Amino acid sequence: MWLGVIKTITLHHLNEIDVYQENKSQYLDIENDVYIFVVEGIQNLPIFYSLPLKVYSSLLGVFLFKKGNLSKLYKIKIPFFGVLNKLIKSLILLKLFDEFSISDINKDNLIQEQ
Amino acid sequence: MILKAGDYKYKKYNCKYLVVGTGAGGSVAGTLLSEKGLDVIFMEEGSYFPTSSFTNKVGDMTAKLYRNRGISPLIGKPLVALAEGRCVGGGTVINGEGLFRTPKWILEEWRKKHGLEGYSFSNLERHFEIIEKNLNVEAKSISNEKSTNLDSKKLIEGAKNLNWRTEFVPRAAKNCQYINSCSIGCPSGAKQSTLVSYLPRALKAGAKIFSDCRVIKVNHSKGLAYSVIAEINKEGKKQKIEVQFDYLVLAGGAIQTPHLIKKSRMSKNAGKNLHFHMNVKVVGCLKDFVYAEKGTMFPVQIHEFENEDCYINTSAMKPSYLAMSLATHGNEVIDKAIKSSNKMVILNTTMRVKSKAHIYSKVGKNPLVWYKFDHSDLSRIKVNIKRMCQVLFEANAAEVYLPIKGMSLTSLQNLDGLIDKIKPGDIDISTVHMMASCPMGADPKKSVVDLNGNLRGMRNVLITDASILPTSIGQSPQETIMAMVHEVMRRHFER
Repeated sequence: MWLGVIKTITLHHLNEIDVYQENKSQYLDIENDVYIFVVEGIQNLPIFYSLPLKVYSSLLGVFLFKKGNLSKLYKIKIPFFGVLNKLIKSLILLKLFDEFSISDINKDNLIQEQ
Repeated sequence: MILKAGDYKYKKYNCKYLVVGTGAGGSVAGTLLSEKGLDVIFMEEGSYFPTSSFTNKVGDMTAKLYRNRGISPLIGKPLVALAEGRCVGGGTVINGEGLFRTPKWILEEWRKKHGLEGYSFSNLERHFEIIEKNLNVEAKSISNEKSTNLDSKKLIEGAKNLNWRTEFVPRAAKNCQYINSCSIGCPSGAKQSTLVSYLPRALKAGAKIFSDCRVIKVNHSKGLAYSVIAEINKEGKKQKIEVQFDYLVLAGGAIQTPHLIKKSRMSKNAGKNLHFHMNVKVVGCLKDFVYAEKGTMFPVQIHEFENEDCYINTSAMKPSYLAMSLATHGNEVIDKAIKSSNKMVILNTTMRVKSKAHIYSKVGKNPLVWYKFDHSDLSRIKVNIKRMCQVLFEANAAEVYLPIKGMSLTSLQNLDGLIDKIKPGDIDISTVHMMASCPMGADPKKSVVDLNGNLRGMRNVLITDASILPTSIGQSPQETIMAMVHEVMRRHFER
């Protein structure tokens, strides 16, 4: 259950990042690479950090199941959701921009400069 | 000889000196011991990654070189993200290579309040000189650089407009290639981490390095430590080894050292008063191109506020770091920043704070670190956020992003009003410097380590890492740790 929630939150962020949407087709399996990086990041934390995160994610899973989608989760204030969300987002950002060629993304800037 | 997981053929090893940790403190102690002809084994929890294995990939290198991918939490409000090295070479492989002599007034404070006789600036000066020579330390001007460190040049420009004093940072580098990879392992080998400086000397003198090897317990009896039990993680299977020694040198850093001491029941006072520096970042989008990735982590610092123990400099710049610095903002801000990354600058303030942490070691194998936010730190954080905004706008910023959810500015006009509303829980804070968890001192009741670096209550255990500093120091502590260790080892050899 907790893995499903981590995947849902990861995809939510990835889908909101235009740079990812515009460039993902050029990279093989990037979504899965980022997701695995996030999961390993949580699993490798000491147990007193990782266990509460897993339990909390599982509880969120029940909530998500009832509410149907994640966007509602961002609209209402749920205790500690911000911590989980920020951790996942930080891990996503740490991995994501390793894969993209930033010089390609910045080509507009380079044209302006010339 | 460097052993990795899979190389351990025996269950028992022995040596004269066992050094736990290969960072700034452990590598100096072990090198000095091995160069005296003594039989030394280093034990390092992290893996061995040679310079040739370092890449430009932040995520991958962070997973390899840092504990918990650089985001170990310090529990408190707000949560503080701790970045801690875990590899052969320790924190020196992933720090910004800035080496600073301990401020004179800090050493004077240590003498007066903690009884550190023999650790004055004049006592340590000879050690500073040796370290700086060994590590090729130089405060190099960037004034003549035309296409590198343009973000730091903007910092100088902004500071000059405000009449704030800047200084070039003394850095431990040889032939820097300006690829801004200091924090993920320098792939050119220019950065003089202990991986390329002290440890090769120790190996040449006959020392052995046991990597992938986590010490979980020190065996001792009647004030004498005689062996350690260590765990080797080999492809998910755990193997235990025992290493016997005559002398134990603990240098696992300000969190792991007191944790091991407490787990092994060698001292009750260890880990009670952990000091740390707080880092707060502000990101600016300039109107000019600066290509901040082409440069070094922080060749310049604003020293105007050194009497408040606050230093402002540019921070490590890679697209991943830029995005992470904006993690509290919406994804649309991250998109915008990445698309303009050649115009982006990340500024960081390192500050000495009153908030203190505590290490809890009773449950599980890992330490739990929590801290209490001292509210006097809030005003200091606010002042420094304001200063970073000021310097960025003076450097021609179009927009500035604060380390608070959704807070950005296009001018200084509304800054005071916005800053007044900030609560501690809103701020994105990180730390990379932990110290003083086993403080040295003359008073046995207030210190964990005596003036010779010996763990009180034990006859053959030295501590040689950031944990022996009596307090935090405001700046990067690497040179202070190394100088203290040089002095501790000098005293040890004298005896």
